[in-house]
Amino acid sequence: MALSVIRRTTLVGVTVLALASACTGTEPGSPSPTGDVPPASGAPTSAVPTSGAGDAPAVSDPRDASATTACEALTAAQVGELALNAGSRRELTLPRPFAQGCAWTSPDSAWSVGFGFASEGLGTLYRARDNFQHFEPRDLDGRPAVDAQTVYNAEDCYTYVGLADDQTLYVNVDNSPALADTPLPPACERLDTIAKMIIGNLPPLK
Amino acid sequence: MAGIIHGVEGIWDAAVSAVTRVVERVQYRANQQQQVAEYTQASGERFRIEPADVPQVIADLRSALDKVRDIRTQAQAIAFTPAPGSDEVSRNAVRQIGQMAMGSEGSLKAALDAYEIEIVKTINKLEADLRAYLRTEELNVPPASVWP
Repeated sequence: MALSVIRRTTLVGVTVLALASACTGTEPGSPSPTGDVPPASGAPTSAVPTSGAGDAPAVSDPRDASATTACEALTAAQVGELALNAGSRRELTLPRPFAQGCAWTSPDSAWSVGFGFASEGLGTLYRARDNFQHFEPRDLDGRPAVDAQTVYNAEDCYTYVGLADDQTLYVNVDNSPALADTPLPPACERLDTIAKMIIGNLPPLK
Repeated sequence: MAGIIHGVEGIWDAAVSAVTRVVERVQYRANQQQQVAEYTQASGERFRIEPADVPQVIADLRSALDKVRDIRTQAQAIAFTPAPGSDEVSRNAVRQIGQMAMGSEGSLKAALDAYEIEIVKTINKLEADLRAYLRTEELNVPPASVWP
Protein backbone atom coordinates (compact mmCIF):
# COMPACT_ATOMS: atom_id res chain seq x y z
CA MET A 1 0.00 0.00 0.00
CA ALA A 2 1.42 3.22 -1.02
CA LEU A 3 1.84 5.70 1.72
CA SER A 4 0.55 9.03 0.72
CA VAL A 5 1.27 12.11 2.66
CA ILE A 6 -0.99 14.95 1.99
CA ARG A 7 0.96 18.00 1.00
CA ARG A 8 -0.74 21.22 1.49
CA THR A 9 0.27 24.66 0.68
CA THR A 10 -0.37 27.02 3.44
CA LEU A 11 -1.11 30.60 2.97
CA VAL A 12 1.26 32.36 5.22
CA GLY A 13 0.36 35.84 6.13
CA VAL A 14 3.24 38.14 6.08
CA THR A 15 3.15 41.54 7.55
CA VAL A 16 4.07 43.95 4.88
CA LEU A 17 7.14 45.96 5.57
CA ALA A 18 5.52 49.13 4.54
CA LEU A 19 7.20 52.24 5.68
CA ALA A 20 5.67 54.92 3.64
CA SER A 21 7.36 58.26 3.70
CA ALA A 22 9.94 56.99 6.09
CA CYS A 23 12.53 59.61 5.44
CA THR A 24 10.62 62.54 4.14
CA GLY A 25 9.15 65.62 5.63
CA THR A 26 11.54 66.44 8.41
CA GLU A 27 9.98 68.98 10.65
CA PRO A 28 12.02 72.00 11.55
CA GLY A 29 12.87 72.29 15.18
CA SER A 30 15.67 72.07 17.62
CA PRO A 31 16.82 68.93 19.39
CA SER A 32 16.45 68.75 23.10
CA PRO A 33 19.88 68.34 24.63
CA THR A 34 18.53 67.14 27.92
CA GLY A 35 15.21 65.39 27.43
CA ASP A 36 13.09 63.72 30.06
CA VAL A 37 14.74 60.38 29.81
CA PRO A 38 15.95 58.21 32.61
CA PRO A 39 19.65 57.99 33.26
CA ALA A 40 21.43 54.98 31.87
CA SER A 41 22.80 52.27 34.06
CA GLY A 42 26.21 52.58 35.64
CA ALA A 43 27.64 54.73 38.32
CA PRO A 44 27.82 58.45 37.71
CA THR A 45 31.22 59.86 37.02
CA SER A 46 32.89 61.27 40.06
CA ALA A 47 35.01 64.38 40.05
CA VAL A 48 38.11 63.51 38.08
CA PRO A 49 40.72 65.54 36.23
CA THR A 50 39.68 66.58 32.77
CA SER A 51 41.68 65.95 29.64
CA GLY A 52 41.58 69.59 28.70
CA ALA A 53 39.17 68.83 25.87
CA GLY A 54 35.78 70.17 26.83
CA ASP A 55 34.46 68.60 30.02
CA ALA A 56 35.74 65.16 29.19
CA PRO A 57 37.51 63.45 32.07
CA ALA A 58 41.11 62.44 31.54
CA VAL A 59 41.86 58.78 30.88
CA SER A 60 44.17 56.97 33.23
CA ASP A 61 45.68 53.68 32.05
CA PRO A 62 45.36 54.66 28.38
CA ARG A 63 45.05 51.91 25.78
CA ASP A 64 46.05 51.97 22.13
CA ALA A 65 43.61 50.77 19.48
CA SER A 66 45.44 52.34 16.55
CA ALA A 67 46.93 49.02 15.42
CA THR A 68 43.85 46.91 16.12
CA THR A 69 41.05 46.38 13.63
CA ALA A 70 37.62 46.21 15.22
CA CYS A 71 36.87 42.68 14.05
CA GLU A 72 40.06 41.47 15.70
CA ALA A 73 39.24 43.17 19.00
CA LEU A 74 37.37 40.13 20.34
CA THR A 75 38.94 36.69 20.33
CA ALA A 76 37.09 33.67 18.99
CA ALA A 77 36.86 32.37 22.55
CA GLN A 78 35.25 35.62 23.71
CA VAL A 79 32.77 35.52 20.84
CA GLY A 80 31.84 32.03 22.01
CA GLU A 81 31.68 33.12 25.64
CA LEU A 82 29.27 35.89 24.69
CA ALA A 83 27.15 33.33 22.83
CA LEU A 84 27.34 35.33 19.62
CA ASN A 85 26.87 33.68 16.26
CA ALA A 86 30.42 33.31 14.92
CA GLY A 87 29.12 33.44 11.37
CA SER A 88 27.40 36.77 11.90
CA ARG A 89 30.62 38.81 11.93
CA ARG A 90 30.26 41.91 9.77
CA GLU A 91 32.59 44.79 9.00
CA LEU A 92 31.00 48.23 9.21
CA THR A 93 32.02 51.41 7.49
CA LEU A 94 31.82 54.14 10.09
CA PRO A 95 32.23 57.88 9.47
CA ARG A 96 35.48 59.61 10.36
CA PRO A 97 37.11 59.81 12.84
CA PHE A 98 36.15 56.15 13.24
CA ALA A 99 38.06 53.36 11.58
CA GLN A 100 36.27 50.30 10.19
CA GLY A 101 33.80 48.92 12.75
CA CYS A 102 32.55 45.43 13.46
CA ALA A 103 29.22 43.84 14.39
CA TRP A 104 28.00 40.46 15.64
CA THR A 105 24.56 39.01 16.31
CA SER A 106 23.23 36.32 18.64
CA PRO A 107 22.02 33.07 17.03
CA ASP A 108 18.37 33.97 17.65
CA SER A 109 18.89 37.56 16.41
CA ALA A 110 17.53 38.81 19.74
CA TRP A 111 20.52 41.07 20.32
CA SER A 112 23.51 42.38 18.47
CA VAL A 113 26.63 44.37 19.20
CA GLY A 114 28.47 46.87 17.03
CA PHE A 115 31.64 48.75 17.84
CA GLY A 116 34.51 50.77 16.44
CA PHE A 117 37.47 52.91 17.40
CA ALA A 118 37.78 56.67 16.90
CA SER A 119 41.07 58.50 16.61
CA GLU A 120 39.70 61.33 18.76
CA GLY A 121 39.00 61.42 22.46
CA LEU A 122 35.84 61.93 24.48
CA GLY A 123 36.45 65.68 24.25
CA THR A 124 35.07 65.53 20.69
CA LEU A 125 31.92 63.84 21.99
CA TYR A 126 31.51 66.41 24.75
CA ARG A 127 31.72 69.20 22.19
CA ALA A 128 28.97 67.43 20.23
CA ARG A 129 26.75 66.81 23.25
CA ASP A 130 23.97 69.00 21.79
CA ASN A 131 23.58 66.34 19.08
CA PHE A 132 22.22 63.94 21.71
CA GLN A 133 18.91 63.82 23.55
CA HIS A 134 20.38 61.34 26.05
CA PHE A 135 23.89 62.17 27.29
CA GLU A 136 24.86 60.46 30.52
CA PRO A 137 28.51 60.47 31.62
CA ARG A 138 29.43 57.47 33.71
CA ASP A 139 32.25 55.21 34.73
CA LEU A 140 33.01 51.95 32.93
CA ASP A 141 35.54 49.85 34.78
CA GLY A 142 37.45 52.91 35.93
CA ARG A 143 37.29 54.66 32.58
CA PRO A 144 35.33 57.74 31.63
CA ALA A 145 32.38 56.81 29.45
CA VAL A 146 29.21 58.38 28.14
CA ASP A 147 25.90 56.74 27.33
CA ALA A 148 24.65 58.84 24.44
CA GLN A 149 21.68 58.47 22.12
CA THR A 150 20.27 61.01 19.72
CA VAL A 151 16.81 59.63 20.48
CA TYR A 152 16.54 57.62 23.66
CA ASN A 153 15.52 53.98 23.43
CA ALA A 154 15.67 52.07 26.71
CA GLU A 155 16.03 48.72 24.93
CA ASP A 156 19.37 49.73 23.46
CA CYS A 157 22.65 51.03 24.82
CA TYR A 158 25.10 53.27 22.97
CA THR A 159 28.27 54.05 24.87
CA TYR A 160 31.51 55.89 24.14
CA VAL A 161 34.45 54.86 26.31
CA GLY A 162 37.67 56.83 26.68
CA LEU A 163 40.64 54.66 25.67
CA ALA A 164 43.11 57.53 25.73
CA ASP A 165 42.80 61.28 25.58
CA ASP A 166 42.78 60.96 21.80
CA GLN A 167 41.11 57.58 21.31
CA THR A 168 37.53 56.43 21.91
CA LEU A 169 35.76 53.08 21.83
CA TYR A 170 32.19 53.28 20.54
CA VAL A 171 29.97 50.29 21.40
CA ASN A 172 26.29 49.68 21.01
CA VAL A 173 24.06 46.77 22.00
CA ASP A 174 20.60 46.50 20.43
CA ASN A 175 18.03 44.25 22.09
CA SER A 176 14.94 42.81 20.41
CA PRO A 177 13.20 41.06 23.34
CA ALA A 178 10.41 39.78 21.09
CA LEU A 179 12.88 37.40 19.43
CA ALA A 180 14.38 36.08 22.66
CA ASP A 181 13.43 32.72 24.14
CA THR A 182 14.48 33.92 27.59
CA PRO A 183 14.54 37.42 29.06
CA LEU A 184 17.50 39.46 27.86
CA PRO A 185 19.82 41.22 30.29
CA PRO A 186 19.79 45.01 30.10
CA ALA A 187 21.66 46.21 27.02
CA CYS A 188 24.09 48.38 29.03
CA GLU A 189 24.94 45.46 31.31
CA ARG A 190 25.90 43.31 28.33
CA LEU A 191 27.66 46.24 26.70
CA ASP A 192 29.88 46.73 29.77
CA THR A 193 30.96 43.09 29.63
CA ILE A 194 31.88 43.37 25.96
CA ALA A 195 33.64 46.72 26.37
CA LYS A 196 35.79 45.30 29.18
CA MET A 197 36.76 42.36 26.96
CA ILE A 198 37.70 44.65 24.07
CA ILE A 199 39.71 47.02 26.25
CA GLY A 200 41.43 44.10 27.94
CA ASN A 201 42.68 42.94 24.55
CA LEU A 202 44.22 46.33 23.67
CA PRO A 203 47.86 47.08 24.44
CA PRO A 204 48.80 49.99 26.72
CA LEU A 205 49.41 53.29 24.96
CA LYS A 206 53.17 53.97 24.73
CA MET B 1 44.37 77.70 13.46
CA ALA B 2 43.19 77.84 9.84
CA GLY B 3 44.50 74.33 9.38
CA ILE B 4 42.49 73.08 12.32
CA ILE B 5 39.32 74.74 11.05
CA HIS B 6 39.94 73.31 7.60
CA GLY B 7 40.45 69.84 9.08
CA VAL B 8 37.27 70.02 11.12
CA GLU B 9 35.33 71.22 8.11
CA GLY B 10 36.69 68.26 6.16
CA ILE B 11 35.48 65.87 8.85
CA TRP B 12 32.11 67.55 8.90
CA ASP B 13 31.79 67.43 5.11
CA ALA B 14 32.54 63.72 5.20
CA ALA B 15 29.93 63.19 7.92
CA VAL B 16 27.31 65.12 5.94
CA SER B 17 28.13 63.09 2.82
CA ALA B 18 27.82 59.88 4.81
CA VAL B 19 24.42 60.93 6.18
CA THR B 20 23.23 61.92 2.74
CA ARG B 21 24.26 58.59 1.25
CA VAL B 22 22.56 56.65 4.04
CA VAL B 23 19.38 58.72 3.75
CA GLU B 24 19.32 58.21 -0.01
CA ARG B 25 19.72 54.47 0.42
CA VAL B 26 16.95 54.32 3.01
CA GLN B 27 14.75 56.56 0.88
CA TYR B 28 15.26 54.20 -2.06
CA ARG B 29 14.35 51.23 0.09
CA ALA B 30 11.35 53.05 1.52
CA ASN B 31 10.15 53.70 -2.02
CA GLN B 32 10.57 50.04 -2.84
CA GLN B 33 8.64 49.07 0.28
CA GLN B 34 5.92 51.50 -0.72
CA GLN B 35 5.65 49.75 -4.08
CA VAL B 36 5.52 46.36 -2.40
CA ALA B 37 2.78 47.63 -0.11
CA GLU B 38 0.78 48.85 -3.09
CA TYR B 39 1.18 45.56 -4.92
CA THR B 40 0.25 43.45 -1.94
CA GLN B 41 -2.71 45.55 -0.90
CA ALA B 42 -4.34 44.42 -4.13
CA SER B 43 -3.89 40.81 -3.00
CA GLY B 44 -5.23 41.25 0.49
CA GLU B 45 -1.87 42.17 2.07
CA ARG B 46 -0.77 38.56 2.11
CA PHE B 47 2.13 36.80 0.49
CA ARG B 48 1.89 33.19 -0.50
CA ILE B 49 4.98 31.32 0.67
CA GLU B 50 5.57 27.63 0.16
CA PRO B 51 6.21 25.99 3.54
CA ALA B 52 9.54 24.67 2.32
CA ASP B 53 10.66 28.24 1.64
CA VAL B 54 9.72 29.63 5.05
CA PRO B 55 13.05 28.84 6.79
CA GLN B 56 14.96 30.68 4.06
CA VAL B 57 12.59 33.65 4.27
CA ILE B 58 13.15 33.77 8.03
CA ALA B 59 16.92 33.65 7.49
CA ASP B 60 16.66 36.49 4.97
CA LEU B 61 14.63 38.55 7.42
CA ARG B 62 17.24 37.99 10.14
CA SER B 63 19.87 39.19 7.70
CA ALA B 64 17.75 42.27 6.97
CA LEU B 65 17.48 42.89 10.71
CA ASP B 66 21.28 42.88 10.94
CA LYS B 67 21.46 45.45 8.16
CA VAL B 68 18.96 47.71 9.91
CA ARG B 69 20.95 47.55 13.12
CA ASP B 70 24.21 48.19 11.26
CA ILE B 71 22.83 51.31 9.58
CA ARG B 72 21.66 52.57 12.98
CA THR B 73 25.14 51.96 14.39
CA GLN B 74 26.61 53.91 11.48
CA ALA B 75 24.11 56.75 11.73
CA GLN B 76 24.54 57.11 15.48
CA ALA B 77 28.32 57.37 15.02
CA ILE B 78 27.82 60.44 12.86
CA ALA B 79 26.55 62.34 15.89
CA PHE B 80 30.02 61.97 17.43
CA THR B 81 31.29 64.84 15.30
CA PRO B 82 30.46 68.36 16.52
CA ALA B 83 29.55 71.32 14.31
CA PRO B 84 32.55 72.93 12.56
CA GLY B 85 31.77 76.35 14.01
CA SER B 86 29.87 78.03 16.79
CA ASP B 87 27.97 80.43 14.52
CA GLU B 88 24.22 80.15 14.16
CA VAL B 89 24.43 78.84 10.57
CA SER B 90 26.63 75.92 11.63
CA ARG B 91 24.50 75.15 14.65
CA ASN B 92 21.34 75.27 12.57
CA ALA B 93 22.88 72.96 9.97
CA VAL B 94 23.72 70.52 12.74
CA ARG B 95 20.15 70.67 14.04
CA GLN B 96 18.67 70.09 10.59
CA ILE B 97 20.96 67.18 9.75
CA GLY B 98 20.52 65.76 13.22
CA GLN B 99 16.74 65.85 12.89
CA MET B 100 16.89 64.27 9.44
CA ALA B 101 19.24 61.50 10.52
CA MET B 102 18.33 60.74 14.08
CA GLY B 103 15.30 62.83 15.10
CA SER B 104 12.27 61.32 16.74
CA GLU B 105 9.84 61.72 13.84
CA GLY B 106 10.22 61.24 10.09
CA SER B 107 13.92 60.56 10.45
CA LEU B 108 16.29 57.86 9.36
CA LYS B 109 16.32 56.47 12.88
CA ALA B 110 12.52 56.45 13.06
CA ALA B 111 12.46 54.52 9.77
CA LEU B 112 15.04 52.05 11.04
CA ASP B 113 13.15 51.53 14.29
CA ALA B 114 9.95 50.92 12.33
CA TYR B 115 11.75 48.49 10.05
CA GLU B 116 13.06 46.58 13.05
CA ILE B 117 9.63 46.31 14.65
CA GLU B 118 8.01 45.04 11.45
CA ILE B 119 10.81 42.59 10.68
CA VAL B 120 10.67 41.14 14.20
CA LYS B 121 6.89 40.81 14.00
CA THR B 122 7.14 39.09 10.64
CA ILE B 123 9.80 36.64 11.85
CA ASN B 124 7.66 35.73 14.85
CA LYS B 125 4.58 35.28 12.66
CA LEU B 126 6.41 33.09 10.16
CA GLU B 127 7.92 30.94 12.90
CA ALA B 128 4.49 30.48 14.51
CA ASP B 129 2.95 29.58 11.15
CA LEU B 130 5.75 27.14 10.42
CA ARG B 131 5.36 25.47 13.81
CA ALA B 132 1.62 25.13 13.27
CA TYR B 133 2.17 23.71 9.81
CA LEU B 134 4.68 21.13 11.01
CA ARG B 135 2.33 20.05 13.81
CA THR B 136 -0.43 19.56 11.25
CA GLU B 137 1.88 17.61 8.96
CA GLU B 138 2.85 15.35 11.84
CA LEU B 139 -0.81 14.57 12.52
CA ASN B 140 -1.31 13.69 8.86
CA VAL B 141 1.42 11.05 8.82
CA PRO B 142 -0.08 7.64 9.63
CA PRO B 143 1.51 5.81 12.56
CA ALA B 144 4.30 3.37 11.71
CA SER B 145 2.09 0.41 12.70
CA VAL B 146 -0.02 0.84 9.56
CA TRP B 147 2.90 1.34 7.20
CA PRO B 148 3.20 -1.37 4.50
